[in-house]
Amino acid sequence: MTARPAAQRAPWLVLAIVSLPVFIGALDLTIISAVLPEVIVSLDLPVKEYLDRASWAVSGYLLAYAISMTFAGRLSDLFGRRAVYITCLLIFMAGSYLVTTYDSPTLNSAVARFYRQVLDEPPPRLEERYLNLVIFGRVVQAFGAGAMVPVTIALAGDLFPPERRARPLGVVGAVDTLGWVLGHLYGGVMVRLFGQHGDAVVDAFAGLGVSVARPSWETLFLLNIPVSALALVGAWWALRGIPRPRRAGRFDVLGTLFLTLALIGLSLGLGANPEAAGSAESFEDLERTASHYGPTLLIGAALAFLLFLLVEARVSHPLIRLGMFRSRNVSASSLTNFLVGFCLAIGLVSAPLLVNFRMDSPTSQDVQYAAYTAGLLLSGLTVPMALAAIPGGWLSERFGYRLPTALGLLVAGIGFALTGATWQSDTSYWLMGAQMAIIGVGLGLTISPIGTAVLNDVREGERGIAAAMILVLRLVGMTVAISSLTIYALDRFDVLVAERMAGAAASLEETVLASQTASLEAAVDVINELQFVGVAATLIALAAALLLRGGRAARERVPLA
Amino acid sequence: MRALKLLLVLALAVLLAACGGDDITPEPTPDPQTLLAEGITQLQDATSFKYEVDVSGYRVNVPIAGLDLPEGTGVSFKYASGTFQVPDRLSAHVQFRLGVLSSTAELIALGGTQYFRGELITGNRWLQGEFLPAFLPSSLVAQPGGVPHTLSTIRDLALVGRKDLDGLSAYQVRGRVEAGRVFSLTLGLSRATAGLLDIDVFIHTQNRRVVRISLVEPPPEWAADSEPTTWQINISEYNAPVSITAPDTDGGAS
Repeated sequence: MTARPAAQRAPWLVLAIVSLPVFIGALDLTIISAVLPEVIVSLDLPVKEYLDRASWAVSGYLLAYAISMTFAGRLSDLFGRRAVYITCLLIFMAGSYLVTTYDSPTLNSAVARFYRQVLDEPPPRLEERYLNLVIFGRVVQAFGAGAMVPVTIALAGDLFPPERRARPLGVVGAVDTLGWVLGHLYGGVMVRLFGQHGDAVVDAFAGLGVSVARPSWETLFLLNIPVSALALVGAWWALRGIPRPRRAGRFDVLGTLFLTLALIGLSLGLGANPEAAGSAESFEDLERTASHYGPTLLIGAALAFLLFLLVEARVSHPLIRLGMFRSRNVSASSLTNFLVGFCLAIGLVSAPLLVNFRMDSPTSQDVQYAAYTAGLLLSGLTVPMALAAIPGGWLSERFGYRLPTALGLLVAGIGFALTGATWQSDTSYWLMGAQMAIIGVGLGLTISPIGTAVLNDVREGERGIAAAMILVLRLVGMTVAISSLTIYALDRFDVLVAERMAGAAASLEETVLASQTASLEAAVDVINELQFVGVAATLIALAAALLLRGGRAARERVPLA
Repeated sequence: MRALKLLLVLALAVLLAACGGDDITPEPTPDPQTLLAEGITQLQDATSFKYEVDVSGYRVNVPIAGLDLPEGTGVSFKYASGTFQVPDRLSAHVQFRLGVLSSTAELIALGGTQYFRGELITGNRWLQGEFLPAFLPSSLVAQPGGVPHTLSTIRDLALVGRKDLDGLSAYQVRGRVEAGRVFSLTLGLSRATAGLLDIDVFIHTQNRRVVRISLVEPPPEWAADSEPTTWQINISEYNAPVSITAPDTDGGAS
């Protein structure tokens, strides 16, 4: 007699097991945002000069996560959930390991050889190669992490009958949200703990006869490996009984390729080409490379997107059925959600920037404390955002999709206006946190109505891809914001510093003092300007949200975050 | 299928061969004196070259008078990358640390006149002033005192062998040099003033140009247990066309 597989006996247990890596992968979406300056400092690179390149450790993850979400569900339809899920988990583990081995002499030598022998140019300096390898590792991680989300959504469909699918779908969305909501807090707190108690950890291991390096930000990624390995064993066991889906149609390779190219082109075009920017020898060069490559990349992205639409309209099994967007709710929700992601990124970027500019002195304790403070402040944005999703869902059932979405965007807009008008170099962290919470509540109110509007307006069989699309659009919004606003902020910063320094005294000591004051003032001004970009984005999103209709006493509420 | 396997094995073999960068194969010939002399001549005759200095190990402090710095922090040198144009022009990016934070400054030196700017120190505005005290670009190749002359004073010269510098094939020549003679090599920032320092010079196997110099400086006496300072100096882009001119000091961040 054969025992029934776990998938049939305990579907919730199976879902819990496969959701653990989804949580870790989502945690890693934001884990680095608070500790990015600590990463740049530990790589011995100048923060200002390398912030743009280093921001690819954040936006590269977002982009790869979003891209892999678009096609992994379909891949699992064709090749089996278990095989695809386990492959994704292995990719995530490999990426996590790669991040921690950025200083491997073998890897760095291979990169240097690649430059010399393939590109026929001198390799970048060692520290730049380190940073490039961190970014590369993050992208590999994200491909695995993002892909696990739609496969898990599809698994929820396999494990539960249609009438019981709403809750497990909501759980997968909530797990993913919880991950990125807690990521920066986890990153900031852990880096601070490592700074304070790192020696004690080393001593404790030494007492056991094991020699370990002092824990640091790399340890965050190293910790992914044992947890993922446990999840791998669990998933191997739990997914044994999952029925292999029917091999229907073919994988939309062209659609995937064009969508990937369009998203990469858009992100690179809005920011600077990281390679070209890397070879820039000054900020002027950086701006020149950005403006030189930007239009070409954006045109390329537009062409790739047109080709994607053409392919999707013609193939029998498209990645995304374009007919979905004929629904006013689906298209209005998509635009709104993209802009919600854009606004969210403004919040996520602004607080760490201001905290780091306000550092008292450039010691490692201060850098770690800044990461910790930034993590706490970002939680002030994301935790209320996640919590506000609940009243958002309730309001949506009672008053329809439009009201809570519009109300949320209005609240977020007010929050951005308040931060833009009041943040100064000496504003208390309590006030900053409270204002971040207003933005968080506002954005959070929109989550449930937007998600439900899409899920209730697509065909039953398309809910998995629609659920993934909601997350992808928000991630794309975040990526676009980070790529474009980092360049904007750095450019504005230079302009504002130059304006303030125009009348400065000529002696070195006076110039140094004037420069420090000008830098802090310019940073505050740029951060405030970003908040007003947030106000504009919420207003555009509000216009789109006003097109939403229906939703009162919704057929099925899916608390998808 | 067999063909595929063969291809995979070949690819792996190529990869492994490419990764074997640390092998040093001792070679009795050529003569280290001749090798070094050829390298020195190429450097001496160059119309321009790129000069990159990277410091690791014990930090190299930069004394800056009159700057009110937070307690426990100091300014130290980390990295510089510049282009030298004969007879006396230099354009460089200098990375220094303030505490644990790094920042960069740009330097243009035309003879005895220096211009500099940096985010932290001048708000990116070009200033005319002495950024590297008493530093003259011409001192890089001056006779005596310049880099070629310093290399010519290396004692106890021996050929270590052939070394692969991440895809760049070079002969490694090892010796010792008087600490007082490394001023130009280290942009005047080395601590040691007496004694002999270990030095390795890497000379390209094909064109016999000096491509890397590695200099080891012991830590100060009061921190004798610390690791030594290693100066890695890469020299490249010999005779590339360059034009170094004075920046605009009136227009702010130019």
